[in-house]
Amino acid sequence: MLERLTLAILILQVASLKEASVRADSRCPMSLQKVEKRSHADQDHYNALPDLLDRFQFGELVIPPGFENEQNPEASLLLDQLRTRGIPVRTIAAPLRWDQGGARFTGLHPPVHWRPEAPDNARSLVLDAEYEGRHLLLTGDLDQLGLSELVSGPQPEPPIELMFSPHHGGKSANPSWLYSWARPRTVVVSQRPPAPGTTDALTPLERAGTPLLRTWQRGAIHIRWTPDGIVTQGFLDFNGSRALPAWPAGEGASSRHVFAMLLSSPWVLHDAAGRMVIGLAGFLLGIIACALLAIVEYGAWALVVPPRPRLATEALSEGECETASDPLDRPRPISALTDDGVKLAGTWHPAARGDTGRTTLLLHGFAEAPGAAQAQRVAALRQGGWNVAALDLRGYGRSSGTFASFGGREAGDVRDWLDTLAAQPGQARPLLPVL
Amino acid sequence: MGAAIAVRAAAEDPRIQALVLESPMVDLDLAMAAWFRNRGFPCAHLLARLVTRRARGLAGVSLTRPRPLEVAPRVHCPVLIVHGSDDTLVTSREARRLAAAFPNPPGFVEVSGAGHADVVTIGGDALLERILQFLREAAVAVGN
Repeated sequence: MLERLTLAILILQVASLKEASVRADSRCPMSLQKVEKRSHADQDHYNALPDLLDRFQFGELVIPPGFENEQNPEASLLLDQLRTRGIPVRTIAAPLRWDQGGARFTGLHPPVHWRPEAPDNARSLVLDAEYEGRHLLLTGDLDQLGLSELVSGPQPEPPIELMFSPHHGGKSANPSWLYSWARPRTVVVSQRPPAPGTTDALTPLERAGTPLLRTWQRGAIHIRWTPDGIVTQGFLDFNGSRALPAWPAGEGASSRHVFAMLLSSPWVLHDAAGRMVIGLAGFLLGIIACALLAIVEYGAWALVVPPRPRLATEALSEGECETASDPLDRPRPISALTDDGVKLAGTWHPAARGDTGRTTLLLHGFAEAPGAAQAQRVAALRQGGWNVAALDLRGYGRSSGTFASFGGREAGDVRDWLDTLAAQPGQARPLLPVL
Repeated sequence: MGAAIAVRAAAEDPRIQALVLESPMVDLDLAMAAWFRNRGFPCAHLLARLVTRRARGLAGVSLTRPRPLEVAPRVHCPVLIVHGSDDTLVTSREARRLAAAFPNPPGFVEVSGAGHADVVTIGGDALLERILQFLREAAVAVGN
């Protein structure tokens, strides 16, 4: 049945020509279609026109009153070209209705003799194309005065199935009350991408859930009448880089169903939204990388630069040692020099009951707090008859040295300590308990 | 850290005639990973490796190699290992792996309820007495 609809309307959004509806004759087997290219300069539209004339056989051109005037030589040129090819040109004004190819066309704007002084845009031709009870509203570059005039007329009943946003979705041409009046189920807009981060007059409509096809996102919009409604498909949705599954040709589905499918598909990212997602992902990756670097850097420094003070030498000031009456029993500082010139410090705690010749080296842990536990160890060892050399590892307490290394250098330091302590009188056999 | 140093020193210096290792580190990478994991970090092992690698760059010497586990076979003096049963930094399993790496089977005291840094506090006098006993036996064995 659709194939039998042999009517074509080509809407030429030629900026200087405003609105021209070209009706093809019955020899052109195609459904209702919008020919639209993205982000065109005016001159491009004009240059493309002869191609259109070659590709399609036009039955008639309809134009609004005042379309042809002295200030618009291009328009006159175009009309001359059409007349040369034997294509009739008809000026129509609202209200005018005619039937063709099973479809009904109604001119809604501008009314006869309406404000000839009004700007071209306001005098754009507004056409209602109806087929099988479904309405397509073509609005051209209509704005301001023209809009008020249009909505002062009777509200379309039933509501518009598919509407072309006037004047490329421009702010002054797309007030909310226009859409309250037309109640379109779906809106198509021919426009260039907006500046990043900005919204346009159609954004509220889109947010309210009205399916909106923008040519800068979808490419050319293909419109098809089906038993279930008017089906719209963006060229890029099916043929472009966004690899969507092909919509089975001829399968009935309302425009809403098509939209539901498109919007629910994860592949359909609006260009702006896609950029935002990618940007956000990049930003998050950056944050994660920074956090990772910070953690690694902090961890590494915490490992090799010990928290100060950490003092084996603190035991010097601890009370249990101060009470010793014999000065020989008192703890005293000891020190050793390593091969690489680091001066190490420690504390010598003599055995409690006279020198047994047994010595222990006490090495502390990584982050162990000095104090009670250390004093407990020292006291127990001294009472057991052991001399205790409590050592500050390099980088800790009063020992110099910049970095700790978990044995990488400290093992050599222990050897240096043993050399130093062995040189003390009577220290023949050190043993080594370790923390 | 003290234990890691002591194991290396004992392997290199025969003057060291006995070792008491309290909560010994077995593998710094594993301990770091455990530290990160206990604090809920993801990819704890990767983080640990990155940290010890970076630390090596800072210190100018490897913090992780050779591991105490690899040095232990060269330690021939008597060894006593004291370990907390609730140590989350170095697990009992790891500590026992280290113990098994010494050529002479070391004494192994597990202090129940103790973590990594409070073995002496929790073990108290009983533990210290056990250590002194080990030291006495070691001293007697070498004729002192």
